[in-house]
Amino acid sequence: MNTEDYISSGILQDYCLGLLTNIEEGKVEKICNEFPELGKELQLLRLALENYAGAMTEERKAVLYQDIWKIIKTIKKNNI
Amino acid sequence: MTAANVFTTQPLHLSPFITQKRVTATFVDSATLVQMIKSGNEKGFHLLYDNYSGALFGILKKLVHRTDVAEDLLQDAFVKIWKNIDGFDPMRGSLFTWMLQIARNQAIDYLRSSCYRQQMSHIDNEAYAHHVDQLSNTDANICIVESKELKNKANQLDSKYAAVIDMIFIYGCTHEQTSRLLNLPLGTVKSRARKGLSLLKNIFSQ
Repeated sequence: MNTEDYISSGILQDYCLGLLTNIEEGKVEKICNEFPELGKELQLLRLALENYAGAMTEERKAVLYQDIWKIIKTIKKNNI
Repeated sequence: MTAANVFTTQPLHLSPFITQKRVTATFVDSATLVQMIKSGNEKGFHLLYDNYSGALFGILKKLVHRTDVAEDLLQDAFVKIWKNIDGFDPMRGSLFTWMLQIARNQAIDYLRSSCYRQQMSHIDNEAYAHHVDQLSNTDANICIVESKELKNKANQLDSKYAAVIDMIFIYGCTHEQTSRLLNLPLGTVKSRARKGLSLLKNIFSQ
């Protein structure tokens, strides 16, 4: 396996963007486990996407957290 | 170290947004966070919310264009995340990507709902814009993380690539849908998605 060719094929980007079938995803994961440099590249791509999403961070009401936690506590209490 | 360890158990990043300067001091890696939530720990949930809710809220607002609806969807998404945390598989992707998928599905369900269509048929654009402005004037969360640096970096991505990445990653469109919506050839969409993500990797690695 030529890892440079694999990286430049763009399949890791497709994986991160969720554009592969389940079978294709499984193959990428297997290969990334076998080749550490590919696993590392995949994580860098994932991280870039997460940071891109992080750039969209917006302020939200402080009370929102309390509202959500209240619902979860009810769910826990009633074992729903 | 085995090859498998590199991919599965040695994350390069432990925090959700590595380049962010944090106002809050608490730091927990995502595996620990997941364990805390599974055991019903409120602190774990607080940290999860603190780390990820800002980005999810920003994306939800981008999807539904309304602050009040985005708040409801964020609430629903976090309740769903809490209830389904056992379904998170770190082998299939990061915690954030999994959470984003849940939040995005909530937004898509809302946009497909009759409630949304009814609202849109009754609200004229001007009134709608005014409504959105009013709703945007909310109290700031004092725990919010600093995202200016991330915004500056994200803005470095050329808009032609950002448009394609947004359609696929944020709106959840396929290559084909993106091609139709942006009126671009399918091959161009595929190459811009790949190139765009590679550019983002370089930008955020700097």
